[in-house]
Amino acid sequence: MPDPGRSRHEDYLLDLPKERPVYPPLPWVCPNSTMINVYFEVLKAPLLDRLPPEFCRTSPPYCRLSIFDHPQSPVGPFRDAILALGCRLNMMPAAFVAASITNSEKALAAGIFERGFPNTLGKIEFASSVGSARAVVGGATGPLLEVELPLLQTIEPSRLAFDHADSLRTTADGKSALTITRPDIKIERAAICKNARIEYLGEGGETPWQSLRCRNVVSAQLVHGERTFEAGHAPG
Amino acid sequence: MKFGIFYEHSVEKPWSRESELRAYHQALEQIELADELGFDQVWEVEHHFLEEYSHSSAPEVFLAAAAARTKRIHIGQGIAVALPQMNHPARIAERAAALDLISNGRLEFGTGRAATWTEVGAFGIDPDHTKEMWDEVIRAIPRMWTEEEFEWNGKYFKMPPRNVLPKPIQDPHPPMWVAVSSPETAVQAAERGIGMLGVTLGTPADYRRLVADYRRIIKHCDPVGKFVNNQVNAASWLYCGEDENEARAVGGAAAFNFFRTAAHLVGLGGIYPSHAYTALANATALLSQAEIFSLREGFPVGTPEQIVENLRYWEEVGVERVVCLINFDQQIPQKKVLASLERFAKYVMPEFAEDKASRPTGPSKSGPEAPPMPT
Repeated sequence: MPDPGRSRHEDYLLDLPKERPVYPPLPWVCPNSTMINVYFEVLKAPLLDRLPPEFCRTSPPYCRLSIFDHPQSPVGPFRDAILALGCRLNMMPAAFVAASITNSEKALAAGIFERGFPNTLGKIEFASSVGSARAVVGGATGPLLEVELPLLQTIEPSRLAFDHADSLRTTADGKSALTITRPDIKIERAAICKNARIEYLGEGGETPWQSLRCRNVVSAQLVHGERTFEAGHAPG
Repeated sequence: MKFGIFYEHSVEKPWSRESELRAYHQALEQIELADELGFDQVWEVEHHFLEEYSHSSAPEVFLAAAAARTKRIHIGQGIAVALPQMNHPARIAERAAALDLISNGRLEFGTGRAATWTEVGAFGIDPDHTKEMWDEVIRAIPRMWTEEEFEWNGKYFKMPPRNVLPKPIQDPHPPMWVAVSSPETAVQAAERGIGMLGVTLGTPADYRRLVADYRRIIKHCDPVGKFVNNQVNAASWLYCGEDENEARAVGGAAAFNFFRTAAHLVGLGGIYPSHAYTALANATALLSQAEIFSLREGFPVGTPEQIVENLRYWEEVGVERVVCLINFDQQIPQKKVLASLERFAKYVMPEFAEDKASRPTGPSKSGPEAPPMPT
């Protein structure tokens, strides 16, 4: 320790559209949002392969999968999902976004230009109730994974806190910029699930969603509250 | 004030076949010397799967070797993990009693419940219940040591009547401790009449409230053992240097590397929301120290004079024992570690000998300026 990541910044560069699409200015306040959040252990090698060198892995290596459902927002209902690598940046807890998906063109544009994520269009199914929750995340090739929280137990919202998310955003001049997005959900209701599961669907290929397979679920939460979809900022 | 040393058995990568061998045997040589020099205790942690940070998963085995090589130094399990899914309580009692016999009654029996997901998750233990498990186990073990027909029908383990053997030589049993890294656990230690074994490498200021709460509450305790152990043990880092610069460069650098490695462990509180881990877990708590990049107030790293001054702060807070890490990842050459122990024994220990215990303590509360870490 420390064990730094071995991906290259170039691996995260995107081809930005020549003209910035029109979308409402950030931040977007999204009331009545719901988030499924799962921490799970992964193998060391695929995590290091996706982690930029300024970040170091933790022991054990783990990922955070967060799937959001926003029934209300300035761009209408939309959903997004991020797969973040648990890590340390200058010894402090961090979560680097290795993959992200949204079903909204406008959220995609805002994400690419101002946050670094979400940066891919896809399809997200999302259903939740007081007792259970389920989501399916899909990309261009079809469904990627299914998350199920079959038995929820309500907890005090104050028991939960989430780290900021870090990403490599592609800048207008084609370079990458480390970008930090603050924890963005004001928790109004929360529940945990002790028997969550993640099932991988279809042929995975080499996407992070499937190469960073869950080896052991650590914890899972369902959170309801107001999410603020805001622009990221440079570290420091 | 009494002084001890403690071991994580850290082993830095890249590993060779000899890396762990060297760590274990260098530690045994250090303990032999510490015993001769008059150090009071040696403690060893129990950790599992924490690569590089701690390769100390069988502390009773190591401590038995330490006991066999020494005459006076107390042998501390710091700690035995008191979770039935990790260690059956009868096995904990058996191994501890055997260690007490081998050491001729020098065992200090520390207990705890693990604080990282790596460990708790590996054994399939529900983090929400570890505190309750620990509480049940520490009530059973003194009875195992003192009863011929021990029987238990608890929430987390059950046993038909058995005579748990061997029995410890200390009468009625070895002193009991619990690892304390949060204000809540300090209070629980006091309520149960067991010693407070500080495991966070904090400052005297960090310990002040814990010690005050502990001292106040233990006066009215309901002891889980057959007697009350009302001692407070703090954890720190020791390097007694040839001069100030050497101490900073050698001891300070090793201390920093310890914090840096600890910062990459995943404390339970970080990714598993649980009422049973309300405080920052052990490794996570170190993050706040790691970011300081300097030796902390009260750390006995420096010249003998500086160390005496730093240890006075611990005295002022009411800590009567300080146990210290003395190396990390074998980064400090063995010769230097042994020399540091010798300097400490020669120049620092006499200042805290019992015949000097009544001397007034009057350091300022702010403490000395912390020397900067080497870059």
